[in-house]
Amino acid sequence: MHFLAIYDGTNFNSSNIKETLIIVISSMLLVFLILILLIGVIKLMGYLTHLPSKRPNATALPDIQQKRIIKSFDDLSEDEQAAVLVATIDFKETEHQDAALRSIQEIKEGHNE
Amino acid sequence: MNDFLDVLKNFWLESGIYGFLNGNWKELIMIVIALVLLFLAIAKKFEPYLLIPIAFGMLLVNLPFSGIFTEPTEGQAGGLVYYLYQGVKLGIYPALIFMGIGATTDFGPLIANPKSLILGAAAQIGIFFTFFIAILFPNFNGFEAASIAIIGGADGPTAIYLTSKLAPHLLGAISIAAYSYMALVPVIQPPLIRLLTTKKERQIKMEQLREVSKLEKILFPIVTTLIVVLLVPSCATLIGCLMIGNLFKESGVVPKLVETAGNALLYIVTILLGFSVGATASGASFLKFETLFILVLGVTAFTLATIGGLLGGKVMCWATKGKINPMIGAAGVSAVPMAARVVQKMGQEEDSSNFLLMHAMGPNVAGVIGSAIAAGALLLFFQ
Repeated sequence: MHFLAIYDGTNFNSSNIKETLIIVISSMLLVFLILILLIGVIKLMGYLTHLPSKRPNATALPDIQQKRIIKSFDDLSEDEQAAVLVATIDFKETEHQDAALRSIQEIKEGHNE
Repeated sequence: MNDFLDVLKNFWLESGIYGFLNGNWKELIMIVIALVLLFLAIAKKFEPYLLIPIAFGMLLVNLPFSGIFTEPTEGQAGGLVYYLYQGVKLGIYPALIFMGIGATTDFGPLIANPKSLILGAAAQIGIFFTFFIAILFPNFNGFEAASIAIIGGADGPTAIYLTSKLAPHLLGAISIAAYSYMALVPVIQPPLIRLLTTKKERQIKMEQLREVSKLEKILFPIVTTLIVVLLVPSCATLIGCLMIGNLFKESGVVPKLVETAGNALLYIVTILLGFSVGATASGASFLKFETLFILVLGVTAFTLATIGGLLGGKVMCWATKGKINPMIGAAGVSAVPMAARVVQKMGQEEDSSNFLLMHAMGPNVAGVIGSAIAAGALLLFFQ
């Protein structure tokens, strides 16, 4: 698939400004077009798998009073793992000492406004 | 007695010290550079996993008569690094590293907010603008300009892959520039972010990302491979390896492959890649004016990429009426996860209750895909 490989790189130099512009513009367009196409496909995938852009329902969140005791890091969901990592890394960087994380809690939608 | 003196004389003539005293001053400078890089990697923790093998490879190859990069001759085997280097030359190591990255990357934030891909594309502008600038230099031809420009992708394996295909003689300078600038993300990006965004924009809080189903995560690597490789076949190696690694992870049925690709394989190949790339930086090939230009053009590419991502973020902020924090555009330059962490940190500096990490991870992983496509596009023109 070398239909576009029209330039000999060894002889391509500052005298090829016009061709350089063609490469720059068409490459940028190619990157944008492929990624925009991917956006469409990912959205379609979300739609087909019955998960439209629905954000977590605030009322469906577990009550923060309802505590869950976790014994292993692997038992946490991805969001919870991210929260643990962000909190501990941030603490370590600012306080320069080891942290013992006691609890994490999900902030209900609207609290982050 | 004369025999003994001859032995001593031969020992002296074959020693590296004699080599230095007989005009190998460039190698001496390279050894100093290697020691500085080792210091930065160990004491300052600048990309230590890559810089330590790179710097040590550089140190070893510049010791006179070490012979570790000697090509094989008739009846005599070559040096160790000559054989290890074949993995770079044939584009094997960068592809395997991409497999490991795929096995450790969560594309969930990108699937939850696919518009992040726009930011991943915007940040690639740095590559193409730098290509245009580099070609104006009389020192560089098309192959070399494309290889230098890819530094703006802030993705080491992609830079090494493209350079090994187009301009292998520049591998040492380009890989060192690429990894050095990636390590300097926390230094280079914050001033640019402050310059191009207002305090109000930096304080924007983004809505929580939607939940992504397991099926979507499994489909993503398959669909992405199909689309990207069908349109730009020259991306097949990088995108294919990235996505197979991710499919291992998301399928959930091959934990041992995930473990191997994301740990053992990734680190083994990192050692081989770093060591052999470092060994390409011999005094004679590295200490040239071209290297200085490459370093300057590399930082230009990186800066332009960050600016491109930020401007993309500002456009999206405007288009969504302030729902997108434009800072996350800076994470579109790849450099996973450092660029996303810079955004998270800066968001927290403005407001300690603002958590942007997961939002920045979307453009961050989009940048990896974007830079691989950009490399594929350049290969299409110059292969």
